[in-house]
Amino acid sequence: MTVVQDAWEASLLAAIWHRSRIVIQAPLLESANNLFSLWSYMIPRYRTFVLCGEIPKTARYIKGAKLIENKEPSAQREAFELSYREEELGASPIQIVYFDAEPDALRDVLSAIPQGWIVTTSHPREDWENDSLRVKDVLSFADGTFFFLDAVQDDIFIERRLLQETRDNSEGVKGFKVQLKQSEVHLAFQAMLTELESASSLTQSYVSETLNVRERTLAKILAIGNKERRIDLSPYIRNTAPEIVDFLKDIASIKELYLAALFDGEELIGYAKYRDINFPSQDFLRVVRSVEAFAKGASRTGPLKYVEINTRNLNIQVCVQPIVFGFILEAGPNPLVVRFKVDEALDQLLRAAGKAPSP
Amino acid sequence: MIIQTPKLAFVLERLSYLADKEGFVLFGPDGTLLFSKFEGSAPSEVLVSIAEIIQIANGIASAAGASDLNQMQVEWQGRVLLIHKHPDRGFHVVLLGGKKLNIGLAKILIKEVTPSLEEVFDALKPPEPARRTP
Repeated sequence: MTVVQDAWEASLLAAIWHRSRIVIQAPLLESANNLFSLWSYMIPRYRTFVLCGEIPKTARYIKGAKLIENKEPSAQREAFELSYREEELGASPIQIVYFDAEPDALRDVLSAIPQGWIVTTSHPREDWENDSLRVKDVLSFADGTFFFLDAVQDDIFIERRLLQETRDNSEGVKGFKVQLKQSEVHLAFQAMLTELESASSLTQSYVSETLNVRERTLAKILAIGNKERRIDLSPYIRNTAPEIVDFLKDIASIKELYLAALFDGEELIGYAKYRDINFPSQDFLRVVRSVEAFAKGASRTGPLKYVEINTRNLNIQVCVQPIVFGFILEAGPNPLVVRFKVDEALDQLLRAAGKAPSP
Repeated sequence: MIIQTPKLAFVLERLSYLADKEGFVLFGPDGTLLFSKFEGSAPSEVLVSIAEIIQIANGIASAAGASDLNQMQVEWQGRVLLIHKHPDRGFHVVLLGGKKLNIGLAKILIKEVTPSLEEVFDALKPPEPARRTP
């Protein structure tokens, strides 16, 4: 597989994942249907397939698929619209596939559905393209063409990486990995939605840690969720302040660092995992609380400044300034470097968290 | 309970060189208080809190997939707490100091004197329950 092939395949995956409207056209209908079969592993399986038209046997037995046998355009349209509206009530998102569509079906039935459908047809572009069905991108194969009626995504990093990672895998494994990622994104959105029922907003760092996702995947979760549920959660996810992002990037130069977490009170306002480790950031706060309990019983302690727990293979460091900075490092003579970096960036970080800088 | 052994006297003498040292405590592996010596008196809540800190630190160290706690350092604006765990016997040596305590030196000293406390720990630890023979 070449880099160019990676790119168009990733674009195709993005278009399907983002519910673009697609017309697969070939002079022979069978070729168009074959092209659909070949790339259908890219359709998320949690979506309910709604099949219509001359449904080939291979597609007829897709698990859980709804078949619309009625040939009447108004009845088909009504069935599609109903299924589409049910998404907003929490039903699984749908993927409409209309086999052997006539230009009338595209114009009278599918044009009413703004996203999430794929059509196979033998009719050339000029027979069905009109103002409401305008081709934005084209992907041509020897035996047929994909016409994209919505602009293909600009950012296809995740799709590209996914396909690069699976380029040497069998079809089955490739399908499994693509489906796994799509399901992860889908379930993460559901989880965020549930969290937001009891919280007015979430920090990007909190989502990143609890769902174990990075920035690009978070963007994908929000975009796909918005497409599938028509709910835009992005205003409820508070981005990490640029000063904190810069700090987390800067300390990446400490090669022993596994993880860094910054808290404003109980709220996780910065989080970065540099190496694989399983450590809930809340444990940094547990350390602080246990030490604060000591301070209540003892005299003359003053405010807590620093806690360090050394084990044979890890160092756990917590600086309290008053933002709580938690770090996990490989055991070694590094604690002073981290404290120095915190001191160095402190004023900016305090400003970023809306606190007064140190005098 | 104060049991003076030559080793304990040696350790206390070594630690007496530290300026602004306020207390020395020995806890068993499970957080049982074995010995304490403070400049002045230590409120019992302080000792209970140290035992809790030890327990939480050990729990967090093992939750992180790290091996056992080796050493812990807590700095307040006016106080310092150092905890050192014996690598094999699991007892904890604790030093409490004021803000003038030299932390670097204290960390070295506490590590250095810990092996000498094995004998003290053996003398102070509660007896193990007798095993029933078949």
